[in-house]
Amino acid sequence: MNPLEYIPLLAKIGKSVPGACFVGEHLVSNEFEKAVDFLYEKSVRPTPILGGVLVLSGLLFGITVTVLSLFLNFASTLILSITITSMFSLILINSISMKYRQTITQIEKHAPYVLEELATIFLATGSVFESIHYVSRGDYGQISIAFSKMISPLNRGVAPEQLLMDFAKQQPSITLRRGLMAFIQLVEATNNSLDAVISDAHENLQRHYERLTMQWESRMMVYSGLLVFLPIIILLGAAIRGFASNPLILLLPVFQFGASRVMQKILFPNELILLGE
Amino acid sequence: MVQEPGFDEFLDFIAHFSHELTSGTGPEYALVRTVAYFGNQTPENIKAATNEIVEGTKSFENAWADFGHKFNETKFSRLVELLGRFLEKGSQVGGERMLQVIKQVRKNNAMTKTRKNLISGQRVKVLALSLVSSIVMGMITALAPMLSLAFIGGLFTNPIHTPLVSFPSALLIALFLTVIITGYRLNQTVEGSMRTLILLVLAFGTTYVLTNQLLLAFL
Repeated sequence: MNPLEYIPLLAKIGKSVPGACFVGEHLVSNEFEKAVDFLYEKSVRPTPILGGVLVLSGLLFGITVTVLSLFLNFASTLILSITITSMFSLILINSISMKYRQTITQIEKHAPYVLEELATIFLATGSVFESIHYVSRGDYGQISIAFSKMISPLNRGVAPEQLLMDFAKQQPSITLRRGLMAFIQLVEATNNSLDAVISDAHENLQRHYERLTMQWESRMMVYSGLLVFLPIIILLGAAIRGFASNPLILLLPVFQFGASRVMQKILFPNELILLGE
Repeated sequence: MVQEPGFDEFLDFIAHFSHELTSGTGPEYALVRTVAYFGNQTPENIKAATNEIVEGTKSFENAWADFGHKFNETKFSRLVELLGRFLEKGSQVGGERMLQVIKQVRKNNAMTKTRKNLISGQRVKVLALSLVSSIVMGMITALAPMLSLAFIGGLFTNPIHTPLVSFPSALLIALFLTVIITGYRLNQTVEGSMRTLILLVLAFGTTYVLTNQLLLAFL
């Protein structure tokens, strides 16, 4: 169950509630718009999604205020409810942009090799169709899937350059877009800048990897610090409250296990593996 | 730990093979020539592949595909697969392209080596941190009953009362598991050996026993 699948439903809610879209319109950022355009169909627009999120967080705010006011005083209820609601909506909106960025990374991981292959097959056989067909049979994730979708229009007689151009236009990764443009130029024999673009694509990937490497040390510091000091702090708190002899303390390793798993996923996303690693 | 030996030699081999291909020879002949050039330095599985081609038992495509499957690590097999795909359509262009890919792979290789060095540099830090953590945990385990507010309040009325953690208690089991989980996770991240877990558990146990004995002696 992926929460991102329910976003179109959210957009419908946002559309049906008057005024929500009006507020949402002022909150749309450029990247969010691009992400929604890429991830969902044309009928799903970014503004109603934000409106839906607003409606949902309003509901959540109401529920948290009602529930928390049974246990806490007014000021604490208000502060906690605002925190919970804003965290929820921020995480929801961010997850869409994050998914978009992950997709770009996935595409750019394969981009240099796809371009190399396109160029090789084209230079060897002189046929664009052969190149597209070849990449579609490869193991390049989303790119191969997109290329295999081009086969049936190709068989119907659509020009391969046109198909590649269409694919390049709706491409979120700038690297692949530039590479495909250069490939089309190579096919039309106007300009051979493909080699330069391919080495750019490689360097792009390497820069990304280098950045992750540079971040690794600080990520490791945060990870080890949290892993080491969290249980000690919790334990001290429990001991001072007199819970040390309580069997409930057995929840500590369970917590540690879960927390370490979550931190590992957040701090060390395994998103990039270079050829040669 | 730096990159294990083998990959650099493998890259040299593939580069030489691609270079042979660029001169316009067929892949079979280029492979035989490359093996002859490298002589004893050739990897064993490549030798087996060339033997199969020379004897005529297998076609070049099949032998090359089998050659790719013989590697456990993906970094080898992916390169072999890529070159195989390049060669399917034309050996000369494929060789030229492969030389470019190898140039980039060499760069990648240098970068992964940098990361591996960084990771191995952190290993000592992680060991020290987890050791300190298990020692502190062991101490707190022994001291836990004395840290509670109820006990501190009770000191004023009944100073002789000394609760100690008995051996098979929930606290001891919980902290033992926590020490193991922490050590395991940290070691996993720096790709360290899991033998350090024994060290951590020993440190935890020793500190617990020592603190307990000290308390028994003084209270």
